[in-house]
Amino acid sequence: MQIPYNEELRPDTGLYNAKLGIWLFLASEVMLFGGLFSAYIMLRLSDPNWANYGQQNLNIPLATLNTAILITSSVTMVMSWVSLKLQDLKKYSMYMGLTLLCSFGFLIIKYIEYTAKFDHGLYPSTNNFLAVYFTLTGLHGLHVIGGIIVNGYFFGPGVKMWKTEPERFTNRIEVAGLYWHFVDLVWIFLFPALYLL
Amino acid sequence: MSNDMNHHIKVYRNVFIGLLIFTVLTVGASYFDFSYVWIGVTVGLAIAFIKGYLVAANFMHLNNEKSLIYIVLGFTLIFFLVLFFMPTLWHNDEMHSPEHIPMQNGEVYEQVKHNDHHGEEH
Repeated sequence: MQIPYNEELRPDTGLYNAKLGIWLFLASEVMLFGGLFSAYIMLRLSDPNWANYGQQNLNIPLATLNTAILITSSVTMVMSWVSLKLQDLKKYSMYMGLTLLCSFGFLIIKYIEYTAKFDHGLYPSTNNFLAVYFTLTGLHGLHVIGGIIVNGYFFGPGVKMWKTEPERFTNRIEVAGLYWHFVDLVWIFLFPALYLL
Repeated sequence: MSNDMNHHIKVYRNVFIGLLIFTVLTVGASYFDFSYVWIGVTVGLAIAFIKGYLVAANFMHLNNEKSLIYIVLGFTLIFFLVLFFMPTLWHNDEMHSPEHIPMQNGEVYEQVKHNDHHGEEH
């Protein structure tokens, strides 16, 4: 069965179906992270021992580098979509490859941060701050892994759709990009909330 | 199409530079000694919101999107705000938070007794 409105715009919404779908999904994601941010504020304001949990010992330079990497990956992601709009598959592959490279770079730095914590005997169960830190960054990390799986598919086997349905493939990259920019957006708020404030 | 895309590319490049500058500003502001904590928090969050706006408006194309998307996001914002400000229920103790909270070190935190706005003692 042919899925309707994956290229042409649906008359009543003015959108192709996948675009409305991803925005509804992102709305649910806002609620997921919103609930956890809310829990963070509640714990922080009500825990009398918060100042002793070592929040100031987090590695700010590494987190700053990770922020720059994720911002860069957002730009390369949107450039991969622009490349398809310009009918340039080579540039698309280059930008999508760079996006994947940045994604792996982000995870490697996160791994370094996590192992440094574990080496010092700091676990999610150690105190309230570390519970919040590992939950929020861990969930965000899972989203990065999800993005790598989707983008990796479009970088590899999924790219063959370009030959048969180029417009549909371009829409797919736009949708994957919306998800990826959301992951970047979450980190933009996580970074100051956990590391700086 | 090509001219339109070239314009997009210029915008994306400028947004990228802006995001990097604001990241440096966020980190710099965290080292700055503000007189009050709330000023530092406000500055940090304000920069985060500007960065968030740059990403959402440009990379996610929200500065030029169909009205249905704005409606979906409007509802999302309303529910998000409800969720976000739920902790204030705790603040007013309407949810009857416990007076004795076990802590990690095995001790028990006892809530300081005080008169609430009804003039009754907890």
